[in-house]
Amino acid sequence: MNIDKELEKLNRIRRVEPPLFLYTRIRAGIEELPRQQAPLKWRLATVGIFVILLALNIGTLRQRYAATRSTEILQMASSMQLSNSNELYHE
Amino acid sequence: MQEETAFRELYEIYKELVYNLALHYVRLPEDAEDLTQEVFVKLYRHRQQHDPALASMKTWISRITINHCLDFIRRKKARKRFGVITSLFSREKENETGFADLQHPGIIAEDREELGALLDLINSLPEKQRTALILMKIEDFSQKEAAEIMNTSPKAVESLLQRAKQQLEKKWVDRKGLHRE
Repeated sequence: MNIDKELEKLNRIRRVEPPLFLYTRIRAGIEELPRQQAPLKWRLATVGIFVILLALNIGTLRQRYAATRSTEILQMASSMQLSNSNELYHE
Repeated sequence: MQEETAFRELYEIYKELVYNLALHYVRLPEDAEDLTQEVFVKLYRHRQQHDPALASMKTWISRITINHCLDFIRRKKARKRFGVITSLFSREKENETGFADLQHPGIIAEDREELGALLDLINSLPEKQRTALILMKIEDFSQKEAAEIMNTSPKAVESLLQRAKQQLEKKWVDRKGLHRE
């Protein structure tokens, strides 16, 4: 058996046109695609900015809280006439 | 709008190539239509990834189509291993070699039996040999073009084709022997 001769028979396969409706199906498939996402670099940059902003906010809040607390303590100490002097008696 | 016109043009130029390549691999017009649709949607999604310096549009599209067809066949085979029940609802009928019955619209009725047997054997070849044979013997690509599509050297394609022919000859003889018994 000559395989080349057999393979020549493959030339009898005709080229076929795809059905006409196929382009409409393809367009529908494209429209179903999710909206294009921003590149990964941009997405990471956005997340980074949010993290920095959040850290700054937390930092500021903690500082303010600590400052208020120390003022409150001082106020209370002065109202109760507590002294932080080393002298035992007001001599 | 301009983008849509360009895509339509691309479709008009390459629709036959994609559809016929898919048909040679999967043999069923319905599956070939699904694959053509998926390939063009994929092309649209990744249109910016084509680098003309690396490969021509024809090479790039052929490569995507072939990979997509081979993935489809692999998925189908994997499903078949598990799916006895799904085979009951399958839209295709399998012949004695385990392939879908030939419904290739490019083959006339008189040739169906003879070419069907030959295509059965081609489909039973390893993926690379099968691709080399389909590209060069059915789609009439040159050895150089086939090598570009398969991302290999022309020499490697030649060797794949030779091995494919040897295997086909062996399988053909075995098959004839089986039929005679």
